[in-house]
Amino acid sequence: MKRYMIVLAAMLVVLGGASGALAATLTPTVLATGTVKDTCSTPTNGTITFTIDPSGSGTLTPQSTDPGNTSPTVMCTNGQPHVVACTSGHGSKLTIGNDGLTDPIAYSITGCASPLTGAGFTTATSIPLGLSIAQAAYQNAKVGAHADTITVTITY
Amino acid sequence: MKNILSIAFIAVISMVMAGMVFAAPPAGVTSMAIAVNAQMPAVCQEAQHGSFPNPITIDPLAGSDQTFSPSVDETLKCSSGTVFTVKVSSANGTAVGQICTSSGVSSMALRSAGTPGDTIAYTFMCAGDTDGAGHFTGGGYTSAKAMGISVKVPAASAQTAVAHSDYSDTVTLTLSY
Repeated sequence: MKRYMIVLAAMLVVLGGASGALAATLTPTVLATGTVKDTCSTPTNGTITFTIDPSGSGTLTPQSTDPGNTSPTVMCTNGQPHVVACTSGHGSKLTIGNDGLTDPIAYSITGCASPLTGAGFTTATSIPLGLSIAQAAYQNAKVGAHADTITVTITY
Repeated sequence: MKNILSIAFIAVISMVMAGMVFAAPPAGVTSMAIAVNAQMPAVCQEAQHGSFPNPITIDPLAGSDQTFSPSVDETLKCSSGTVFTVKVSSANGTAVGQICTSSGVSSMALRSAGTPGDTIAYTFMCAGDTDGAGHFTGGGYTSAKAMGISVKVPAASAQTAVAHSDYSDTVTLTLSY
């Protein structure tokens, strides 16, 4: 009987030790990672409308920021730089009827600053640009509506 | 040995493909358009003010019409391709707003300042018109258009003119385009 008591006491001691090990806490961690996509959306077109006075002198510099004109806008990922490119539809020439041929007036694009830094998708970023037309290019131009289309491309 | 080479070849291919994947830019493109519209209006301006010799001498015995050229022709600059007309008015004659042609505008008159009742009828001509009907075509702002002005005193007017040295007239030219 005494031997049984000793064995029982030993088992209780062992169980007690096991019970202490089950009380420890575990604190698992889960790593969450996210990548904000670099992208652009919601582009809006712009306009540059102006009158050429052939009797004037000097270089003409109409701007998309002039009263009545509008600059193109776009929304891009906040803080991300994006390459901007501006290209003429007809070799940097304004032509009657926008046909690329009739009475071309040569010009160059100004502004079109690159890179463009995005401001997020609640704020549109403006892309101001303008034209530069030398006097020699317009002083003998014919009467009529001259036009061209400039494409602004954002690469990301 | 052959197996080792095969494995090495596959490894190289995999590396190249992996390199291609990572080298490709995560490209996206957004485009906008700007419509550029320039209006080129018809515009004219005087490039050179015309005048006649002072004085011109009218010979009452000439027996034929006498034509006098200007000392300085009237020239104009207009937008290229602009078709315009020039109208003439005489301060001392009755011509008002008559289209100036190469055949001329009559009803012009020289008047004596000291004896206003003495006048000499004359014709004012614009030989530079493009079509003989008083239409001129602008050549742009680097090319002034000469009007080819002149004055013709008919023989009949000269023969009956009273001798004075103070005849004059002021001719007003008005461009319409």
